[in-house]
Amino acid sequence: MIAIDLRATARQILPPLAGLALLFGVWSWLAASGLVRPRILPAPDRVWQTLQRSIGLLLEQAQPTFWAAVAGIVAAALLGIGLGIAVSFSRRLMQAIYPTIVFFQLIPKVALAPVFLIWFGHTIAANVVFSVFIAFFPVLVATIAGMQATPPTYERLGQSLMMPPLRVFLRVKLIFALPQIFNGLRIGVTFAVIGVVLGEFITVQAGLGYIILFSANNFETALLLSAIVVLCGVGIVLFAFFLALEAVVLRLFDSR
Amino acid sequence: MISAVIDRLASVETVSMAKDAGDYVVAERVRKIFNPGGRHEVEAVAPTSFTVKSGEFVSLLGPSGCGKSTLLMMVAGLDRPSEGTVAVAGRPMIAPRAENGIMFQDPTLLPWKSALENVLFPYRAMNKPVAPHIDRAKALLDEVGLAGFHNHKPRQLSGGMRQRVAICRALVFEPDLLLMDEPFSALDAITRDEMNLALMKIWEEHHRTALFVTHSIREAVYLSDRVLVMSQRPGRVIADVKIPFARPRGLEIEESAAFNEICGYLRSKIQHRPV
Repeated sequence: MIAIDLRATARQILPPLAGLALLFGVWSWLAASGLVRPRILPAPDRVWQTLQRSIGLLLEQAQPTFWAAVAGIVAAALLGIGLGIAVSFSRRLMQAIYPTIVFFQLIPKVALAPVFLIWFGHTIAANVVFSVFIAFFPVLVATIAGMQATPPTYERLGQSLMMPPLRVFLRVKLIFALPQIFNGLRIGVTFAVIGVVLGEFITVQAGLGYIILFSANNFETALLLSAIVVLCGVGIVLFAFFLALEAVVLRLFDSR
Repeated sequence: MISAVIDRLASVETVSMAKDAGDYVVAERVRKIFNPGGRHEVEAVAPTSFTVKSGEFVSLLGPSGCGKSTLLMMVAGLDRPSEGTVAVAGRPMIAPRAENGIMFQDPTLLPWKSALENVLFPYRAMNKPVAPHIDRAKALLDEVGLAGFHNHKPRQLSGGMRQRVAICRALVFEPDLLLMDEPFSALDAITRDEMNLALMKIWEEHHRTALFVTHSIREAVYLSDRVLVMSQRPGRVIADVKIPFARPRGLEIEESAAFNEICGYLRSKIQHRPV
């Protein structure tokens, strides 16, 4: 029984490990063969050394990135869920604002970053606002879809039990919407990190985004790759938090 | 014996319009038009009248799309008639009332709540305390054969069991009128027989006035005191047939000649679309 479980686990873990090993193998071989100069592509062990040496700096710089992304996704969640619920209550409101929102989403968002620079200057606020701007849209779209997930007979049931609309929303529709809303949040949190890093590229002189840009300009490729590793960590922590939150809430309501 | 049944049928066939003190549901020249004046205007229910006496089990029987569900929804106060009036217990139905218990074609259970919590949901919906009613909710679940399933979630129950939970939910606040919109039409034939039996048993015990929508002739005859046959859309009641079997009824009455005679008679009344 346990042996079978082990084999199943191995079957799940082995392919990604093999893929990773292959990637590192090709990378090491490329760096060792002399085909690519170490400045362009340092060997994995050099990146590892640099990561160890500069981990203090990187973790320090990871903090503004992390907290800006947290602020971004929290604000984006409040805005996206709030707006999604509001438009699902009012067709008029939906017609009034939804086309405008979609229109703004069609503009490549990087193109708008300088606008945020003008409005908010080189502050962390510019970063957060930009992150919210990018991350709230998937949350909004998912919330609107979620608010339509309740089968129509449940609304009839609510009417027959004379439930006021707010109570139908809280006791029925919101819970049917939860899986969709969490889908939106999962996409939103990755977008929030993208927004913050883009913001750091363009506006703020701090954070992992700034380190990446700075090392690229100075051909510090090992430091650049180290910063990317830490950035990966930031993304994983945030994503994992939302996965855990989703698991807890959906288990509570069993609405999958 | 059989000819006597037919004679009796013939005498009650005319749709009676006379109001009676015992009439609990009174529909008078009710008509329903969807999208009036619009491009997709549909007359779902043609002006029609019928009554249901207090304590009576009446079925609305008709081909699919004939407006029988619409008629039921107007009795429930969930749809407003375009013309005419529906009154329940002497009051016009212009909005849902708390004393109606409703069953839909889907069980419409909340997937995240247990069977027991689903039965108690009407109290939560009406913001009333649940605690005083837990014992009755449990007793109802036991009565429909769900004794070991109080804490099961809907997805852990079969289709028939879910509809049993829905029966309990419709009965939990002791409604005086039970309205059922093809509640068993999504179930297989064997489960349907079981559900009919379970419904009969619980109805004979609680004895509410009941209005039941179905397109199954046998189901209508088995369950009802009276069957109202509806025409093709726009639907109206075209026959009112008394079902003479004594209660309690077992499923074996479906084997009797009289049962099949009545089914044949009702079938002849249903207008089939030309092939």
